[in-house]
Amino acid sequence: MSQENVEIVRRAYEAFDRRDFETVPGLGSPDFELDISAHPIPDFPNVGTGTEHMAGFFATYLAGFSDYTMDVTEVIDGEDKVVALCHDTARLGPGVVERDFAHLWTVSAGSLVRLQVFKTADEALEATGLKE
Amino acid sequence: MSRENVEVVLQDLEYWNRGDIDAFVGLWDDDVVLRAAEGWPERVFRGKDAVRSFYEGFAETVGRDSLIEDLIDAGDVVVTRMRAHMTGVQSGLEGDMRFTQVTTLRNGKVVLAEFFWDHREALKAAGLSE
Repeated sequence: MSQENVEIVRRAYEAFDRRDFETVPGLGSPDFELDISAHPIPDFPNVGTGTEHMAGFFATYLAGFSDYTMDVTEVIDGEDKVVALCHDTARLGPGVVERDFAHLWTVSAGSLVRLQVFKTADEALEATGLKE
Repeated sequence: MSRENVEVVLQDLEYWNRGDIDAFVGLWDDDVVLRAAEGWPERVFRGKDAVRSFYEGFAETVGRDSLIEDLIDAGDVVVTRMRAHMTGVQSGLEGDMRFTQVTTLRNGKVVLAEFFWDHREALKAAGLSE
């Protein structure tokens, strides 16, 4: 089951790369929770429920940039938790911002049930209990 | 005094949610200090007028629909894990704003309010651990 969870998360990133916001919600449970409280964005709610919220969140976030790419540099399998270490490059006109951050996915019964966003890998791993 | 401090915090939230800003600020000490969460345009507000301006901005961006998810009575300090329903002014996204407030009281008045996105960080600031 653990490897299946990793595969579901990978499919979510592949769909995100294609900007396929119909597939991404289909991978989530109806009560999917997106929690960015550990890495908040001004004017964005830091907790939202439902796959529609997730799709709206990403569409709105991406609309703020002229170009945006995100690479997953490492995936850590923690049974029902999957940690993805990410690096993004966001452009708006001449401005470019590059950041490292971490996603902590919770997967249950073949569906994504929660995504928490952290500023660092350590914070994400600490939240999973994989790091003391 | 500890239970009285909790009552002050609960009363203040009630004033906030019903939009009675004068009563809300009335429970704050004249020399109150407020430390906003990371990322807020200004981080430190000193005195009632400054605190009022912070909350007026908060009401515009986050709204007034706040509830307490968890409360810890730690004597002079009250830790409240909050959840406020909001719609982003620019983003238009609807959802919740979750944060933790650490409130320090003296003589029945709020003297320090600190806001944190990370609950664990708030507990550390309050001298508590999860």
